[in-house]
Amino acid sequence: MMRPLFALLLCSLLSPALFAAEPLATVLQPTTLRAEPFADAAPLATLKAKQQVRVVQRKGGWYQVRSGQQRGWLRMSHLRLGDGATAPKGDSGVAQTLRFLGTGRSGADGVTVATGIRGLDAADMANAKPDHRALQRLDRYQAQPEQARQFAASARLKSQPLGYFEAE
Amino acid sequence: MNRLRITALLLLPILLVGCQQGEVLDKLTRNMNLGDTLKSAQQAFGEVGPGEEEAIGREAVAVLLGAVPLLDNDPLQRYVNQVGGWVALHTERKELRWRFGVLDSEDINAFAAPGGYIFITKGLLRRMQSEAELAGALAHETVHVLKRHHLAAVQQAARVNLASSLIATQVREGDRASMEKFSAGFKELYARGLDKADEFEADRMGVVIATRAGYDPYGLPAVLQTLAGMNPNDASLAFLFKTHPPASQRLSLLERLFDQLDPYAAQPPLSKRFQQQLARLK
Repeated sequence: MMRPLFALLLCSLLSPALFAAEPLATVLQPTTLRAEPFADAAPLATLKAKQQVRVVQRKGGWYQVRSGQQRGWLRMSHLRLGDGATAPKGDSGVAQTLRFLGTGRSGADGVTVATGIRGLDAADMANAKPDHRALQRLDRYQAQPEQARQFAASARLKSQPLGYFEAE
Repeated sequence: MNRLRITALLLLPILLVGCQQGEVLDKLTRNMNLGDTLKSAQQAFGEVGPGEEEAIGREAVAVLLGAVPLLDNDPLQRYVNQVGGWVALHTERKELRWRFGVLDSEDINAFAAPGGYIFITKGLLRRMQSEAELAGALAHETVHVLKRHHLAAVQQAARVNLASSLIATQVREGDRASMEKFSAGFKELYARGLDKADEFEADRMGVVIATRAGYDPYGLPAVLQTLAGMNPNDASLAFLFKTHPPASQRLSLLERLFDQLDPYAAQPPLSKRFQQQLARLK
């Protein structure tokens, strides 16, 4: 059996996006696994709450998941990515991989270690000197409405009239 | 410290000010004497015109870019501006000069500033799978501009009429001590983020805007799924989680809209075009 760390590293090297490596997810409530991403598609199995699955892909509001040998579709709202429904215990795969690449050590000892990438914080902003040249660069990137329309048309994006939903 | 710098420091928190500023500002204004500045301030800021909004946003953005540089990747910057520009055409403020920027940071975050400035970090881009996810996140940020959340947050506490007048008022030598106290207080506000209700509103309206633009409506929910699945102790998430409600809570609120979004579920996510652009990120 492949060692988990090695597998993780391999996945990260082979896939263009780190997240493409079938992330772990947890079922939130008892739910029916279906053959297709539709509410009336054929039922394949019933999944239990807290059961762990692997996410293969998303289509609209549905996730295709792998549970053992079985593949099927679940409503997005019946699932949370991660190994726990609300508070994932381990680091995300991305953080693990980045940390490994940064330090050569895995975090598999169960101790939560910071990724080594120091995050942005309010102090960074407070100590910043305004950069007006960067602002001018930003202005140059602006897409004119006509450019944006052509860009959308090239991917056959079509505007849809839709009103905002009422707040509850 | 020159005048520009002081102004910038004061404006900075307008990016992301929080919900308890009333109390903080009470303390601040009680403890200092701003003299003429305060008087003129009370007349200002009642209505922020488009020109002022742009000026306020621009100063805030100059500081943001001083802290986090723009990513040096013109094609990717133009791509994000095209996605964002198209999304913005489906808002109620099409006439704004919407500008979008990718920040060169592995942190996971997105920002908005008055006037139509939107930023996303390359760290957040890396965790997205499709153009619909990008469109959803940008649409969320446009709502902060549409609804003037930052300006409203500042105005909510009446005495912050100050902020706008300080832009226009000459900061004299004698005011310096007060100014520094004031900006220190603002930094504290800045760290809190916008009101939770503003974030939920931006989610609720953001999914509609992205859907209007023709994208798979589940882009923003998918981004929130990714965030909810990450370790909250991840350093790259610290600032986001400090300034936003938990992703799982935001997702639960959005899930109530799923039945209304389903008729549009077949709209394209544009994963391929997005992945091709993302390959430019090394």
